[in-house]
Amino acid sequence: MKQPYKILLLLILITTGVVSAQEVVVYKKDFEVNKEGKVTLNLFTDEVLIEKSIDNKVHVDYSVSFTKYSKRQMQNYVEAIKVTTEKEGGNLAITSRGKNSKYRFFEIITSDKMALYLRSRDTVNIRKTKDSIVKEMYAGYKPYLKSIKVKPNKAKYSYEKSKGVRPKFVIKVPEGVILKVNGSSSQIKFNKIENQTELKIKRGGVILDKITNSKSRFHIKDGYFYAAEIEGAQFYFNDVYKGLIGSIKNATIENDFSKVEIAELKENVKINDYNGVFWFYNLNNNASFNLDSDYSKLNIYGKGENNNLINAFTSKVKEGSNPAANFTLEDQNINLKVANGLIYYHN
Amino acid sequence: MKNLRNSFTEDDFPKKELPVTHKDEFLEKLSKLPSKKKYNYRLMKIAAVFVLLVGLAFVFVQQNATDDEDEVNTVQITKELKKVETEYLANIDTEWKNFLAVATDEKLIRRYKQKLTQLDADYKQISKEFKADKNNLFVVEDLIRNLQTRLSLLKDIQKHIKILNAKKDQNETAI
Repeated sequence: MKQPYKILLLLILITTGVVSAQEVVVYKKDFEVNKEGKVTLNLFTDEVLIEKSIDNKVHVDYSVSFTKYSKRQMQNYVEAIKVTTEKEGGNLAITSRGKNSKYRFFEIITSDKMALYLRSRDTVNIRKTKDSIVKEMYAGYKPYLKSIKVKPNKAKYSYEKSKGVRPKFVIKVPEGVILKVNGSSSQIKFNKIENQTELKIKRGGVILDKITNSKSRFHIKDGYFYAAEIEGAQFYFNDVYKGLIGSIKNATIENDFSKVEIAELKENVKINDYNGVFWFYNLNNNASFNLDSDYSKLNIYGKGENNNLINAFTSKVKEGSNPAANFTLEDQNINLKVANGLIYYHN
Repeated sequence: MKNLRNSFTEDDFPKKELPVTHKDEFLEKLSKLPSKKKYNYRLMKIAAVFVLLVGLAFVFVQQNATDDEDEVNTVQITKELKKVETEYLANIDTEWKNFLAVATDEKLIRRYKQKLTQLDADYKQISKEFKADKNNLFVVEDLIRNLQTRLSLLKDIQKHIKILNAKKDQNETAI
């Protein structure tokens, strides 16, 4: 081969250092744990999917798929992710620190004074169904930034928009083990998990399809909580800025300063609230309900429907009147204690 | 008809001999012909090395440009955040004073004071995280949401109190 062609080939090889699509395995290991052991997961700025394991092992699998990233960029990204595991007896502790999205190729235009008042427009009073709540849950992450406007840097954006990084962190846990999750600025997704779960998260959020274990406890602070179906468990919400629940029964919610939307309120639900906002889109007839609230704002849907819960509320605060509510109502299945509350009825 | 068998035996070729100067004339003519261009491989090598260097420089600049741009964005984000923070804190302070002016429930005031203190402590914690990783989308969002939460809590509770007070006034008028 003549010299110029060799050089040309070398040049092509250098420029193809930018790989079009590639998956890199960050961590992959399986662990034997005791059937009734404990799996502790500590997460910092990361996203994880917790699934059911089909064998008796815990599978920890962390990979990242890159599109149009150079080898150096991929290496930098992967090196920033830290996953460690520690096995003690039949228990396992997994600690992970992820790498989050950056403002690459986006530039800030300006802060917007109007943005200071945008939060009140967050929730539109449209009646939702369980299906629409589930759809909203899985609609994907949307940046919440409202005070700072960003726009793409056009010069770089046309090429860079096709670049992508998709981390995939999956932990599979066998049935029976107790799951303990501590999270900070992280997103934790559950898929068909029936294990007893103790979860504490500060910032970030939780997305779960169905929870049936009555011993489970979820503590969410300054984050979001999305659940398609709740059939048990206890919840403590503190500053939950978006709570979406498809349906709920046999559960207790302790709520402080949080906003919670419930599509279907079913039997045996207890809510203790301080200065929260609730949207009850569909109140099941004859559902047993226990509400103890102070400075709460309650949005009740199904105006005019013949429903024992709606009737209970309207017996105390009439539709179309001042929404201020101060009352106690004790019935066979319904216990309502509303202090300094506001009740709004919607169609 | 001639006998073909004898056709090549007969000496039919011309007997004329080449002139003595023939060789010199040929060489002279040959030298006058335009010479074929010689390929200059040395120049090609220099050009190839130049292209290679330009290619390498391009890749290097591309990779480093990303880091530079991140650096520029970080400065921009810090500047904008400071602006947003100042605006919010001024608004929060005003709304806190407004809240104290309308709230009469001691328990409510205490709870709100605790809440705002706690949110302020959270903000300081997130600010530390921001200093460690200035270009993290989620940390920036957390900072802004913290400020938004404080402001919206104060605004919402004032609206709430106004409606409760309106009801009280209504009842007192009715009595």
